[in-house]
Amino acid sequence: MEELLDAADDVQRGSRSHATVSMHVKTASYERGMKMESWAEGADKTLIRILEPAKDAGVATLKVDDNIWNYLPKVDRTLKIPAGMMGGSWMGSHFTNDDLVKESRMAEDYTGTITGRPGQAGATSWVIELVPKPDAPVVWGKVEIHIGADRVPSLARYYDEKGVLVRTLTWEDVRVVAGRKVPMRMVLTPADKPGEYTRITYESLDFDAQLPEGTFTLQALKR
Amino acid sequence: MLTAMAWRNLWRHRRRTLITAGALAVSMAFVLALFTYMDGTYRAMSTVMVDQTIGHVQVHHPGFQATRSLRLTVADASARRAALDALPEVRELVPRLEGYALLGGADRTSGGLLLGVDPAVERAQLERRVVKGRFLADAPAREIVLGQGLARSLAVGEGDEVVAVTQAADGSLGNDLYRVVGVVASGTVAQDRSGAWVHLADLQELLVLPDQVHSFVVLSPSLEPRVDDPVVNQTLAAVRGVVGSEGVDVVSWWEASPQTAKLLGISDGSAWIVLCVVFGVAGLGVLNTMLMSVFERTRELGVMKALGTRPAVLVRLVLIEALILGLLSVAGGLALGGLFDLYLTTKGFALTTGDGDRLSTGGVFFDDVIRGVVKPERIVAAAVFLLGVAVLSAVWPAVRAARLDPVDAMQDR
Repeated sequence: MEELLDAADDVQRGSRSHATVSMHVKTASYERGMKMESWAEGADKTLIRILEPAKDAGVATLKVDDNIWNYLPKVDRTLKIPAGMMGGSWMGSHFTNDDLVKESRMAEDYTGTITGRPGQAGATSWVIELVPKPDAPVVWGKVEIHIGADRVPSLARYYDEKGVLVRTLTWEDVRVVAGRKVPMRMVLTPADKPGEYTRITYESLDFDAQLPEGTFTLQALKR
Repeated sequence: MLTAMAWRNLWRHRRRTLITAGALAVSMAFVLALFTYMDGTYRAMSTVMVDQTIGHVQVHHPGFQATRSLRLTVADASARRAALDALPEVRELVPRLEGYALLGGADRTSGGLLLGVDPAVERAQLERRVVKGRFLADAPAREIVLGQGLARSLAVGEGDEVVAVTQAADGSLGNDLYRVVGVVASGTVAQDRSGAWVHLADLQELLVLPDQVHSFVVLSPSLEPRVDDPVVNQTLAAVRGVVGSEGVDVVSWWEASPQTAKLLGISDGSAWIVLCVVFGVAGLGVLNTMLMSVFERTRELGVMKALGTRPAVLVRLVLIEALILGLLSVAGGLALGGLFDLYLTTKGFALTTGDGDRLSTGGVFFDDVIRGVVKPERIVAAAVFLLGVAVLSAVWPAVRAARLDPVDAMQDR
C-alpha cells in the first residue's frame, strides 16, 4: 500500500521537472484562464511564473519547504505569505497556498486502510481510506484516494473533521511522458459550490530538466 | 373660599411649608437636570452609535450583510450617489467599500482590512483619530492610513511604502503600492490591528470593482433617531424611490442593527426609574407634612365638623393645601432646574473614562463636550408627576381629617 501511495504522490514529480501549465478557473462570479511555467525540484522546491493573462504576467510564486513568496512585477515587490493566509486561494483558484506547501507524503502523514481492490466487484482501482496520524500537519479529516492498477491515481475525495466532503480532485488524460504514465489534467471541484472548478492542464512536461543554479532563490523569483 | 383657607393654613407654619416645598423643588430641579444630562448623553450616544456607525439608512447588496462577500456590491455607484445626494431627505451620504488584502512593509507582511472611503465626506470623523501624520487627501493619490497596531506589525511609519495584494473581483491578483500618510488610533482592537483606510477610487481600482461600493450609509435630517422614527422612515422611502429594489436592499438602522436599538431603548427607561424613586421620596415628605398639619389641627378640624362642615369639604381642603404646596415646589423646581439646564446646555459636560481618556464606543469617540438636551415633554411630565405625588400623598391625611369624630377631636389638646 505504501508503494501505491508513494507512486501516486510522485506521479507528476520528477527529480527536476519543467512544465508549461494552463489553469482554468470557473467560479460563480468569474471564469478565467491562465498560462504559467513551472519548475520543480523534488517536493520541496517549486517556482511558478505566470505568462498569461497580460495583467498578471510576471507574477511568480516561489515555494521552498514550508514557505511561499509571491513576486509582484507591477510594484516590484516580493511578499512572503504569512501563516494566517496559507488557507487563502492561490491565484484566484480553488487551490490554496497550503496545497502548494503541504505536499505531504501520504504514506508518512496518514494511516491507510484498503477498502477496495482492482477486480473486486468490477472495480478497476485500489481504494484507500486515509486518516491523518495524530501529529501530521494536514488539514483534512479523511481522504479517500482511488489508484489504478497502473499506480496512477484517478480520484481523491477530501473530507473535513466532521466527515463532510469538502472537495474532489480527479486526475485525467493519462499519457506516457519519458516512459512514465502521467495524468496531464487535474480537476479540483469544491463540494459546496456547485458548478465551480479549477482545471490544470499540462501543456508540456519535461522530467529531468536541466535547471540553472539558483532557480529557487528570491533573486530568481524576480527574473 | 376653600382655596383662601388652604393658602392661609399653609402659611401658619411658614418654615415647615418652605422646607417641604424647598425639598420638593430641589428634587424636581435635580430630576430636570438629570433628564437634561441623560438626554444629552443619550443624544451623544445615539449620534455615536447610530449616526456615526450604522447611519440612519443603509443601502447595500441583499446578501452583503450576511456574507461580507467582496463581489456583492451596489453598482452604478456614482450615478446613484448623485441622485441620493440631491434628495432633501438625505442630510449626508457616505459611500463605503472594503476588502481583505495582504499588506507588506519593507520586510514584514500582515493581513489587513482595507476600507475605501471618500476622505472629503469622512474627514470630520476620521481625522481626529489620527495620532501620527495626517488623514487621506481628498483626491485619490495611492495614500494609506493604518491602524496603529497594523503599522506596528508592518514596521512602517509615515512616508513608508506598503504593498497591498488581494484577489480582485475578476479573479486576478490585484496589487498596488501605497504611501503611508498617517496612523490612527481607532478605539477598537480589531480596527487598530488590521484596519487600513484608502481612497475609495484607489480601492475600486485594486479590487477591480469599477464604480461599485459595498454600501451607502445615509443620514436623515433626524437629530435623534428613535426606532421607527418617522423622519428616518421618510428618508427610507425616498432612498427606496431613487435606488429601487433591483439588486439592492435599503434598510433602517434598527433593522441593520437590532442590538443597537435594544441598547438605546434600555438607557431611555432608566430616566423614568430615577424619576419614580426621587418623587417617591418627595411624596413621603408631603405625606409627613400633611399628616403633621392634620394632627396639629385635630381640635380645630373637630370644631369645623361640629359646626356642620361636611367631610368631603375637609378632604378637599387638605388636598388643596397639598396641591398648593406642590405648585410652589414646581415653581421653585422650574426656577432652579432652569439654572441647571442653562449650565448643562451651554457649558456642557465631558464624558471621560477613569483614566481621563475620551470615551468611545465601536471605534467612534464621543465629542469632547457633551451638551445637555432639554425636552419640554420631560419638564411637563416632571411637573405633572410632582403635583400628582403631592396630592396623592395627601389623600390619607385628608381622609383622616374627614373621619374625625367631632366630640373626641374637640377634647384633643
